Amino acid sequence: MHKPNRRRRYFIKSGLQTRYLRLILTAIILPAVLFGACLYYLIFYLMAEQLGIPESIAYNITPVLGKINLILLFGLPVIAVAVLFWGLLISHRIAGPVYRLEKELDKIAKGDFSLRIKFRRKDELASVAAGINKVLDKIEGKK
Amino acid sequence: MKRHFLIPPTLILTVSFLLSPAIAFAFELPKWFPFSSERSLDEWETKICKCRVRFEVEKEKSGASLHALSFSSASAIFYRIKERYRVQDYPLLSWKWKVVRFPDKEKLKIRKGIERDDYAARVYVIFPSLNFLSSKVLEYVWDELLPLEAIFNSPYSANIKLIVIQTSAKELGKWVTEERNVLADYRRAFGKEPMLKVGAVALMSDADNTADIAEAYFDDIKIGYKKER
Repeated sequence: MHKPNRRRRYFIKSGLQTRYLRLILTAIILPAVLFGACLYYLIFYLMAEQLGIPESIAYNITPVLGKINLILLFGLPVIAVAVLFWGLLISHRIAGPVYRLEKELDKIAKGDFSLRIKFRRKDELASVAAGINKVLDKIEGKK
Repeated sequence: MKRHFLIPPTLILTVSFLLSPAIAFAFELPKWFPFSSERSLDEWETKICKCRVRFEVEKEKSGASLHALSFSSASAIFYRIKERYRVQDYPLLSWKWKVVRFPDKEKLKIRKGIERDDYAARVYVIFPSLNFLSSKVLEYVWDELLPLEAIFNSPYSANIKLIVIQTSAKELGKWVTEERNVLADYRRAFGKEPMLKVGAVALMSDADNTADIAEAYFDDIKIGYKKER
């Protein structure tokens, strides 16, 4: 039975993947933190404005603020790990094919025109690999 | 085409725009509320803590005033000062008040805490901060059990200071005029100079914690002025 083609290493060509990982994490985390912080402040500030009376603010908002902070204290590390894992998966989808392409093109440059680059259908750069294989077909056809 | 005719109106508009906060500010202070009619409450917002206290302008033989009646309730009327001012520039606040009925705290078994935080008459001076938890508040209260000029923290927050400025049950039912130097009171209560500006004044009569009745009258509130030399 045909086994699915799975890469075993999830962190390859560290320089490239790290760059992508950093980019992805910045693109997810920075806007989320900015948006979350603004929302957090705005909601409580507006509620305090609406309540007006200081005792009412202390009685109603302070306990809620405490509970939310507690949830964030435990929840944020869990979310951070999930985002890191997600970033690793996505960066691997990009860096993996790039690394594979580099290695195969090295072999082709050394004269091995019989080589054909095999990517998974869902891989990024699969169409680039298909284009290179067509070029190799033509080169081999002319020989 | 000569455009010199545009310069004076443009100049006037620019100067007006730049001066408008100062002009609004100058017109707003001192702010005086004589509570002579129902319309006097138009600039006040109701803030409900626990059920609504009845705030109404009532006419008596001596004139009209604001009547506050609390039936196991706690709410306030709140005047938001549009252009906040430095209490160092306008330190004085004055008003008249009359307490008709104190909430009965004697029936409470505990001696201190939130359960005793009921007063027949309170006048708030609020110094709002961007971080609302850091806002500072002075509350002038009339209480028949506490010592005169006692300053203590609200059971809700150390940023809320209560100052007992009337303590005599003998004055029950009589009008008393108060004039407070809010700057001096702030320094005494917080032990430092006020860094925030005065942003609001509020009036309250509450009896929610004692589940009793509290009744008071307020009149002639004058906000933000200084003694003329």
